[in-house]
Amino acid sequence: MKKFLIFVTRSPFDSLNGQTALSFCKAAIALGHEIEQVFFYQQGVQHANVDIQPTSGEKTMLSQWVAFSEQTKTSLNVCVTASIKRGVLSVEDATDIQSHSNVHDAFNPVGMADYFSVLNTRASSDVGSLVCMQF
Amino acid sequence: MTKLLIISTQPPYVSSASQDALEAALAASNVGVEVTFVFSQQGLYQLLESQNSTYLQKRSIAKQIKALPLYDIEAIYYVKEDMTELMLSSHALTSTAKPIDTDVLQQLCAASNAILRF
Repeated sequence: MKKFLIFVTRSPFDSLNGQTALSFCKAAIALGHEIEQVFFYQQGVQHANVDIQPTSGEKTMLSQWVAFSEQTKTSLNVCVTASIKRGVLSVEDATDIQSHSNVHDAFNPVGMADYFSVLNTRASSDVGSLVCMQF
Repeated sequence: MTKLLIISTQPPYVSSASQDALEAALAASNVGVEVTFVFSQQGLYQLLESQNSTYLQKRSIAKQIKALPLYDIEAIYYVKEDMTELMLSSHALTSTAKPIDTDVLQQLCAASNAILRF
């Protein structure tokens, strides 16, 4: 069994990248692997943005991630530094600039160092079973 | 110690990729991950000494690259073949980064626990 760290870097509307990442996660779990966390960086932070409106008749990536996270208890972590620069505000960041927060509750705003510390502790304890996948 | 390889492939300023790669490197180094930073393809333009970002009102990418060793990131390389292909000269590039061949890049990939490509 492998543990996967998923790294998503493109926005849900401009790229199919997030959809591919989600399909990968579902397939990996179906085969008995584990998704350690999904981390959203660069334009990927837009996946957590509740203000994005879907084209009529289309399902949003956000609703699919939320459903996936509820079913599988997978952590969805969004990089705070990358997201504040792109107008995706956590409650804390929004309060600081007296604006509204638009990060969905299912996503945890974390520092990028959090992602790398997981990599650090996991890789040293079970070398070979942790795989990083960038989408 | 966990080994992370970051490959930076985009020219500076035209997109956020070069800045995002540097920020990822600092965050990783900050928590004790051993970072190797490689510039490949058009990413080599980030190493040009003569760049000036004043007009763009952006932080200088070259200055941030030169500061990497202060954050314990000393393994900084560029792919020599890409330099030739882009018709760049090693004199025009910052000496903070050292040239490597593509087969060395392959070895670095094989020796890393994780790879991020920007």
